Amino acid sequence: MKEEIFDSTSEAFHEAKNAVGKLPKTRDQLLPALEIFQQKIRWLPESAIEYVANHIMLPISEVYAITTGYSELNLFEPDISQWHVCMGVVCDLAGASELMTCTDNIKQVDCQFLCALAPVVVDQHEQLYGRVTVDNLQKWVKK
Amino acid sequence: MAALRTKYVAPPVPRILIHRGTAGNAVAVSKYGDRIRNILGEKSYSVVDASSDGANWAAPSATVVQGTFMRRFARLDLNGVDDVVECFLGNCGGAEKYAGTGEKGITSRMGRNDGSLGDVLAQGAYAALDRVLQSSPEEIISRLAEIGLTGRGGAHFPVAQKWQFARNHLDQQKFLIVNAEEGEPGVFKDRHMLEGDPHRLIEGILIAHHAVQFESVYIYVNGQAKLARFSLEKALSDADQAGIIGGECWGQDFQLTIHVRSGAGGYVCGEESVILNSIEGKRPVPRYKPPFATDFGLFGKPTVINNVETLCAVTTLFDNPPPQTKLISLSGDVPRAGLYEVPVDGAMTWAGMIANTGRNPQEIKAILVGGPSGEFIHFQQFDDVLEMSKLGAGGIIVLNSFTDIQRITNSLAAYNKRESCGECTPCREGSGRLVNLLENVQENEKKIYELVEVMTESSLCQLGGMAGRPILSALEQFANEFDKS
Repeated sequence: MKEEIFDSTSEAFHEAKNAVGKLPKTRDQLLPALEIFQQKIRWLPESAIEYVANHIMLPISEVYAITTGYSELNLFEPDISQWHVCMGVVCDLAGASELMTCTDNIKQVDCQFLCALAPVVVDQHEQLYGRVTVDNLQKWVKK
Repeated sequence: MAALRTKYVAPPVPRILIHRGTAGNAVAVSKYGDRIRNILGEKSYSVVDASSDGANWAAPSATVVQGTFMRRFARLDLNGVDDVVECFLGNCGGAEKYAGTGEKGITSRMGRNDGSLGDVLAQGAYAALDRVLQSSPEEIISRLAEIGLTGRGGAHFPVAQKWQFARNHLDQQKFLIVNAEEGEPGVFKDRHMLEGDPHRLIEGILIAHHAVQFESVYIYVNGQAKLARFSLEKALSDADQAGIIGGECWGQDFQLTIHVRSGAGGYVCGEESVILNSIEGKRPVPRYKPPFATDFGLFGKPTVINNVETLCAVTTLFDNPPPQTKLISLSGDVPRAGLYEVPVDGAMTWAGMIANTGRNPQEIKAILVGGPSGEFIHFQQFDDVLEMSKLGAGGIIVLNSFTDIQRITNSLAAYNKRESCGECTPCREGSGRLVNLLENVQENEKKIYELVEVMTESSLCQLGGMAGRPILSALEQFANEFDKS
């Protein structure tokens, strides 16, 4: 596992801690608390997991176990320059695999539920784009 | 109710609706909206943002509304924008019939309102609730039984029966969970409902509350559906301020708290007992059943879990006749992909449904109904009528004659393997083994059937239980397409 490089003095981290601190100390607040951290700092470093575990008074190991059950919770820092191509069944049929190979730095992602506008790509800010062509995507990624 | 209307409803004015929503935003519709506003100058206040009307194929699109006249302009470009403005200024040419996906039923307001409370009230929101409040809970439940409303999330359990099971626990706290997780690839109906007409869901919730009396409500929204959550929260806050959720505008005190929770990914999170665990802060895995949620659900209390579409359909209980419709998320190789509200009353066939999307059914090899837990419908069965029990959650993917069925089957099997939560052995091990066995169908066909039987019989939830369904359906109907060399 890669060494965790995370600045726990950042303002965003403090804001997240404050927001989580205001939640009731009950177990049903676990997912909302993890989501607050992920929204503010995009992922869940060890210090965030620890903070949530202490707040809700659960073992850190248990919070980790629960976190790994959700595919959208990131235990590693995401690459912020990354574009994603939807590889759901409909996008696949609409030629998503061509988009996958048309430029570098593209990753695949599961269905984005915009099937009617396939093929679909997702930018760094989670904005979806529909009816994407190879030309479009090459242009956007270069920007 | 009358006071509510007087306070919020403004007189109707001609206007242009810009269809945003996730679909419109994904093709930059706001660019055209801005341009229309620029051209109209002083009159730009007539241009309002609405959600998608379900016709995703039309995006970017705008609709001119003047009284009962509506005309939608599809696939806008810079020239198209001028036509919209011309039409708005009174030069529409012939009055073309509005080709929307739902002119009545539960999509009647979708994409036709600007998201404000006044606008949906003008279009009939909360009228059913008003009538429900004059009836007893028993009357509501027997009415739902009479119209035969079943759950729209895929399992089609009778709504009246589910509510009655919870009601039987007389002196216990009860919860309602609205399942808006919608994680099945190819399905996007609940997002459209939440983006386009969240007040219909709130009305359905309040009707359910009148019938069963809940302590509180949890709406569990898919983590990716951010716009849906945003518009739901706005509607909740508007309805709260107007005294709808509290019941003040009917001179009552409903004593109901509504919480909104977001999921964080995972197909299995749409399974009802997984939602219970997720809300309670436990690992998102299914529970053993029985006990069923209506007896021992959230925090150990009787809990009703209904899908968004189910609660929306509840609002039509007094319609005469109540619309027997199902929301269909239609995609694949068709010219008009998007959300459809189709009649399931024995009149519509698969072929008719495909023809509605602008595709000749004869060019279609099969349709995949229900995604990774669904089945293929062969073109030879296209003359069969649509049945509610065959539609699952309503995800339909249309496959043309060039589609590689084997590739799709493999990709569905791989999806089920990735999404298996690992809680029970048949699904955890079986879903991976299915992927391997599919590599050589000729040699493994018997094993595939055996394994699917084991998974169907013994998996903890329907992710494993239904994982073999598309595979068997493909093997049975398209045997010649599998590489048997």
